[in-house]
Formats: sequence, structure tokens, C-alpha cells
Amino acid sequence: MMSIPDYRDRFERIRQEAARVLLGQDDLILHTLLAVLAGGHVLVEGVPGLGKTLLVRTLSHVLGATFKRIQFTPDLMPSDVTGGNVFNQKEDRFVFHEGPIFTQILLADEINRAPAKTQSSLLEAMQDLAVSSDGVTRPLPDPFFVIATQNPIESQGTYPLPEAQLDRFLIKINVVHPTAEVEKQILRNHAQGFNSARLDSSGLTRVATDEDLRAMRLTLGSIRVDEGIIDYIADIVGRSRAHRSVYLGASPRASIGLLSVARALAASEGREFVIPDDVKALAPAVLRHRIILHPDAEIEGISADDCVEDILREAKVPKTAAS
Amino acid sequence: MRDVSPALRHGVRGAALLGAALTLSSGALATRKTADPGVDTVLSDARYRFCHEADYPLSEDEHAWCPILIESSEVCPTLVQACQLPPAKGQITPSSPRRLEPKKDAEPTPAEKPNQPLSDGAPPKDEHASVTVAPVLSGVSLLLFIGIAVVFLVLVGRALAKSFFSRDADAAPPEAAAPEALSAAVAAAPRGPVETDVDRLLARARAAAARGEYARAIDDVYAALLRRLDADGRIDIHPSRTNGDYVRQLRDDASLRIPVREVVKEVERVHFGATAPSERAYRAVLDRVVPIVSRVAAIALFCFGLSAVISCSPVAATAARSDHAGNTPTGTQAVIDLLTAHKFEVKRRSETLDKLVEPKTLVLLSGASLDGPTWVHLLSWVDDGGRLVLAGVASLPPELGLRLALGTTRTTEIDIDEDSTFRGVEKIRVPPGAEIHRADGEARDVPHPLLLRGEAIYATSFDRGAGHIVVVADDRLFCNASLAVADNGAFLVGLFESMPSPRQIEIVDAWTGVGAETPFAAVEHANLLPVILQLFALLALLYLWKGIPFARLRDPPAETRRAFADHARALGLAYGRARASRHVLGLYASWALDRLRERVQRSGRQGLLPLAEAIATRTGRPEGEVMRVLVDASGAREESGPSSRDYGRFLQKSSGKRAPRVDESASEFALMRELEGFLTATGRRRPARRSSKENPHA
Repeated sequence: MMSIPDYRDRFERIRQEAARVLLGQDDLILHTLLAVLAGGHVLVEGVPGLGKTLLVRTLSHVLGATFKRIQFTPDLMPSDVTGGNVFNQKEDRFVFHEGPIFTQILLADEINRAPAKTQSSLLEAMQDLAVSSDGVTRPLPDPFFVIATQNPIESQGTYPLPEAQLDRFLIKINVVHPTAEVEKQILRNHAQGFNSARLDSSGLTRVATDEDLRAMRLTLGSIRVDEGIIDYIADIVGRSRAHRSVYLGASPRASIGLLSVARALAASEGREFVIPDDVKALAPAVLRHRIILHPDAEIEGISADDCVEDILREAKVPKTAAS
Repeated sequence: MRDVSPALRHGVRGAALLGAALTLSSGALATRKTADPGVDTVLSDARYRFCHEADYPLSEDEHAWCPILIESSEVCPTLVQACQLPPAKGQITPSSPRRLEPKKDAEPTPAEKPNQPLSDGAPPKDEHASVTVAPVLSGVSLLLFIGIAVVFLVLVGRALAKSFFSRDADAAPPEAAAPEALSAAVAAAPRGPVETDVDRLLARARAAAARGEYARAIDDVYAALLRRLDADGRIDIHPSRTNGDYVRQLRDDASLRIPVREVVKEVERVHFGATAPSERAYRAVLDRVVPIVSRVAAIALFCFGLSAVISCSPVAATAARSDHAGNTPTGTQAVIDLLTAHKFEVKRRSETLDKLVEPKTLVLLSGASLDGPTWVHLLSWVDDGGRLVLAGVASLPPELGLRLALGTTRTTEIDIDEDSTFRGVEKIRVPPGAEIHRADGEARDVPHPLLLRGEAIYATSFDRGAGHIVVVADDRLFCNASLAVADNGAFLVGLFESMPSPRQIEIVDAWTGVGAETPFAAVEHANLLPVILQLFALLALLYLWKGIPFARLRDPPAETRRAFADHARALGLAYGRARASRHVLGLYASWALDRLRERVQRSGRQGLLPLAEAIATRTGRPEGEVMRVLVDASGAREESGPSSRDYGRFLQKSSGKRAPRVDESASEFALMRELEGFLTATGRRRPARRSSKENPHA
């Protein structure tokens, strides 16, 4: 456990180091780091070529964590993810071969290109940080987090993630195209020899260790949460279930996730307490993938973000002058 | 008509000379009270500062009265003292007349030579054109002022309404009272409705702090800050907005955003952090909030005051025309007051003379500027019974046969015939100046002289049609300083008393007709019309560009019913997003095959072949081609399987299947077109429904 100022300094160093490589994606970096520190997993959605994979590789460099990547394809099997028992003829017994999931940072690239059964192979790992095979449960390394990328659902050859899978992701980040100025800077960097495949040569340094990450996660437990904040989070999540355009609202897991990530944001700003702004700022990222819309609403072009915006417009902020 | 015989004229001149000789010989001031007691009353008014301030600065024009005043004025002793001071150079008053008078220590210019006409008939150019800008601007300013006032009142009304409706009517707050009483009242009041008044919130905070309830005190201080910012339109308070939202709303004003952010940090430490509400925390918040609240109020007050000053100053200038400028020695306000005291209805005319209709007495001073058509209208008005006094008007019309010329006499005294209608008036005095000549002859030949100054005709009076005209060589007799001299005031009263009823007098000066009657006319006179029109055009373009977002965004009214086509289109879009074209084809094929069987198959044989034969017969298309379409449609019907409601689950079950490609979707759509073609070709035209009148047996 570390002090809040130390937490803020370390967080800022990680963020700035990652921002050296990922230009113009400040929100993506911030939200990913918050989710990682809050012990959650991240679902990143965006068209190809926006730096989703580069983000994960950069984080693995900066955090000094082991990193593996699984390219999800339609023919990928669950055992290709978790590993499985293989008969060893020499020893005349089954031996468990660990799959790529046994790592600290797992990049599930284009996760929605695999069918649901393969996607579901991540469920236990993401929730319990363990993998069960043939009645034996094996723990995953600590820290462990999954950063999954997916192409927009309208793309060709994709399968929608089941609700249970979506709920495991703490936040979902929509990546957008960079501005023209940022894109020019990216081009200048590449013209000067930057190679995203060889991050070692880009001067990226490791600014945190596993111990640091664990300490930072422990620190979040000391962040104070006022009763008004609890009410505010419960109100927001509750409204997501009662919204006229929502078929299935956010789960209690969403409430817990919103609280955790709000704590992480408060600590990253050097505060030892959560304020309503933390909750409000992160609610879209935490709720947007957990809300299933009514078909009517979908037909009318209403998105989950629109619903969250509505909810935040209606939820009453605690302890304000208007109350 | 008043005619003066040569003997009388000589008598008047003799009396004048005698009076002058007496004055010179005695070496003393021929001081006497003015004949009209109303003059004393009028000039005793403090508005006429020249009669009350010994150091009143006189202009060169006003200084011309000084020799006369020093000799004969008792009414304004301070004016005599003011005459001892040198004249103020370059002082121009709006009422400065345009008259010709002999220059001191200089030869007259050719244009000012004696017996030279003062004007060639054209209206004289305004020597102080800039002065006339004020009334033109005054209309615009008045419009601006009214606009600002209306906006201000609307804002105040809105704020009041907002405040009123935001409170709970059942729990009215305690009435405003002294701060101590207010503090006690709010302290005793339960925490009920949302308080929006800044002062009351601060008072409530202080009361709570006095009781040691620092949490509540901090709440109220912070609420006062937000309410002040809200009232000033800098933020918009809403229950869903966080403190950070309010700070972000101030991003355009860094000088306000930074201190407010500091206040927010302090407050949030207490609200959500571990910092206990204490007096120190309360003081920290209060010390930051009070300057902001007062500064915002001060800025708002300053802006309002500034706008009021800017708006009102032209109006004040307008008022000054009737008050301040008219109160100078060369002004005319005292004359108006004097005549008003004698039951005359006197006012300055603002309308143009073109609109003059009713018979009354019109006094044209030297500043009045008339063009040819106006003179024609004016003389016509006189013919119909109007009374016209032309006091120093240089551009006399040719119909009068008179002209004004620079006089040579230095005499200031004008004697009045004892037998005249001006009873009690013995002598009037004006500084030397112009005299009246015939337009085509000598001065002595002027008919119907009324007043003589030495040998020169100072005023003449004659009837014209049903009306009457008095021509005076200059307008000095009608100015304020004139009342302080001799019997000038009494003469003026007598002059207007001699006019028949009604007793309405209008004074025409340089300002007459130059003001606008409406704000729109003022805008036009100020040449602002193009600017205003461009502004309106700009607003129209802005509206066209921004459209609805130009105003406050509102949700569109909810539609209770949609057209069937909208439902079909939305359903199609949903299927398209889900890439369920094959599923749609199956559903459509199922429906289409059933319809086709109903229409064309009569043999009772089952299967696609008889159906294809029948369709081919009806449509004339090759049987093989029809069969291919029917086989494809039948296959699609078999594949469609579950209903659309369960299609999502169906897709998950058949997850091994890939999604259809674009070209496949196109071919499925083409198949649907083929089926539609069959249905159209085999369909029967539905007979038009006849009305009951056409077919009573139907």
C-alpha cells in the first residue's frame, strides 16, 4: 500500500510513458489504466488500425508485465485459450499444458470473431482469476487482466459477445480516429524511425513493477466513499434498469465496478475520497456494454450511450445546491 | 396694422436721445424695477444660474448684453458682476443664435457690410452642425434605452418568476428584515424548501455557524455562490449537475473559474472527504465565496450602471436642451416661464412646420431654418389666421418685401409710444445689431414700423390675410438676458397679449423638425438603417445556418402513431443490420408461394411443378425459369425455420454458419423481386367499389 500522493505520481508516470507511444489516445490510456488498477478487464472497440493492440503492448512494456496475445478466429477452440490435458506416453499420464491465458496481460484480439463457446472460455479466468480443467483449478498470475479488442458489430464475420461475457468487462472503451494534427505527429514519428513492432527501440521504459501494481490496488481500498456516492451509484444503475429504452439494465456487478473505477480515478487525481464527478465521468464506460436495448429503441437509432446520457441527466447528484 | 407717423417716429427718437443724454449726463445707472413683476419671480429660480452666480462664465454673444446690464439691471445683480469677467472663448451653446452683429475692433467683411442683406434667400448654413447631432442621436439612444430597459425588466421578471416558482408555496420563507432579525428567523426556520436568495443563504450560513452547525453553514455558503453564479447566467443549476460541471461551465472566465474551483475543492473535502466540518473549514469557504459573490454583483451592477449611463446620456442631452441650455442668458426658458405665468400655453415646437395647421402664435428665432416650400406653407397658414413673429430670421421670403441688414447705429434704447397698446412699458433695450430694410429700398421706407432704434427700424408689424406678422431685426429681445433689462419682459408680454386668442405660442428654433417622431425614424435619420437591416439579415442567416439549435434545444413532440411504411422501413433496417436477408427471403417466399397457389393452381396437384406450369401459362415466361425461381424460394422457406422473434437464438445455434455476403444479399433481393413479379402478373385487378347509388342491389 502506498500513500495517495505516491499513487498519483506513479499513475502519472505510467500514463505519460504510455502517452509517448500512443498519441492522441489520452482517454483510452486513462480508462485502461483505471480499469487495470481497479482489477477489471477492458473491452476496446474500434475499427482496425487505431492502436488497440499497440496499447496493450505498450502497457506490458511500461508495467513490466508478461504479455500474451490470442488472435480470436471462428475456428478457435476453448482449449486453445485455456490449455488442456495431453497424454504423456512416456509418463503414461495426462499432463496439463497451459494455454496463453496464463499470463499477466492477455490481449484477446478481435474477440468477437470467435463463436460464443470460445469467448466463454474466458469467463472463469476473468471472474475468478483461475482456470479449471478436468476438475483441477489453476490460479492465474497476479496481476492478471484481459484487454479484449473487438471490431464494431456491423463488421463482416463477427459474433456478438454474450451478456455474461460482456458483464465481465469492467469498462468498454470506444476508440475513435485521431485528429488530423495527431495523425500528422504519428506520421512524423514513423518517418523518424518509430516501429510499433519494436517497442524496445523506441525508448519506452518500465516505470512500475508487479509490486507497484499490487500496492496501488491495495491503496484504492483506503479511498473514502461517502454514503451519498453509494446512493448516487445505486441510483444510476437502478435507473439503467428502468429506462424506457432498455431491455436489460446493468447488474450489481456494474455497480461494484463503477465504484471501484471511481476510486481509482479519485486516487489518480490525488484525492482520498470519491466525488460525484468521478462516478459521472466513468458511468458511460462502465454501463454502455451492459445495457441491452429494446428492439424498438434500436430501430429508432438510440444507442446505449444515449441511454446512459439520459440516465445521468435524470440522476440526482448528492449534496449540491439544487438539492 | 400698426402705423407710426413720421412725427411719432421723431418723437420716439427724441425721447430716446433724451434718455441717452440723461444717462450720460448723470453718469449714474438708470436703475428701475422692470415693469412686469413676473420677471423677478421667474429669474429668482435657481435654474437661471446667471442670475445667481457672480462668476457665471458668459460667452462673447452673451457679453453683448453687459453694457446695458451694467447700466440698468436690478433684477440680476450677479449678472452684472459676471459681466466684469472676460468672456469665455469658444463657448458654444445649443441655443447660440445665427445673427449678424458688428465685429469689435475689426472692419466688417463685405458680407457684413451695412445695408447688405443678411441672406440671399437661401437657408443659412449651420455653423455648428455638430451640435445638431445630439437630437438625431437622441432618438437612437432612446430606442436603445427602451430596449435595454425592456430586456432588464424581462430578466428581472424572469428571475422573480423563477425564484417564485422554485419555492414551495406552502412554506414561505420569513419576510425580509434587518440582518440580525433575519439571522434569527432563518436560524429558527426548519430546513424546508430550496432557498435561492443569496443574501438569505449567507445569513442562514452565518446563523448556522453561530450555532456551531458548520456542515450546514458550509452548504449554505456554497449554495449562495452557486445561486449567485446562476442568477448572473454563468452557470445553470440542475440537480443532475456536479460541482465539476459548474466549474467547467466557467471555463470561458478564468478569473472566476480558478477561485470557484478552489471553493469546490474545499467544499468537497467536507462533503465527501474525511475533513470534518469546522469553523476553519467554514471560514476558508466563506472567505473565498464572499469576494466572488460581491464581485459578480459588482460587475453586474457596473455593467448595468454603465449601460444606463450610456443609454441615458443622450436622453439627458435631450433634456438639457429644454433645461440647461435654455437656462443660459441666450436661452429662452425664462421667456417661456414668464409667458406661462401670464396664462399663455408656450412650448417649443419639435414637429416640422409642414404640419402646422391650427391657428396660434409662432415665434421663429434666428436659428430656425426654413426652405421655400415651408415658407409657402407658413405664409398660407398666416393667411388663414396664424400669427407669426419672425425674430431675427435672416432668410425672409420675398413675399414680405423685407430684408435684414447690419445696422450702423450703436443705440441700445428703443422707445415705446405711450399711446400704444403696451401699457406700462416705457423703454426696452437690446444690444446693437441688425435692422429692417425694404427688400428693394432704404430702411426708412419700411411700412408699418413697430419699434425704432434710433433712425433704424427694429420691428415692424402688419396684417396678412386673416393673420398677422411681426418682424423683429434680431431675437435678442426673446432671450433670458433680455428679461433682466428695462421693460423688455413687459413688452414681450404685451406683444403677445395684443395677439388674438387662442393663447398658444410655439417657439421655433434650430431644433425644430430635426428630431425623429419615432425610434424607427431616428434610426433612419442616423443613417443606421443599413446597419440595422444588415444585422437582421445576419440574424436570419444565422438562423438558417444554425436552425433550431440557435434556440434552446427541446425534445420533439412524441409521435403517438406512425405510418405503416415507417414500421416496414424500420423493420427492414433492423433486418439489414442483423444481416438476416436470407431469413427475410424465407418469410417472404413462404407468403408468396401460398398466394401464388391460391391464385393460379386449380388442378389439385401438389408440388412446385404444377405451380410453375400454371404461372408460366399465366405470365408467358419459360417454365424452366419459373421453376428455378420457385425452387429457390422453396429452399429459402425451408431454411427460414424459426420466427423472426427467435432468430437471434437461431443464429447462435447455427453459429458455424457465416454471415451472408453482400452479393448473396443482392441475389436474395433479386429473388424477392421475381416473386413479386409473379404476384403482380397473376393478380386480379380488384374491381372498384361502387357506391350504393350506382348499384342499389349491391
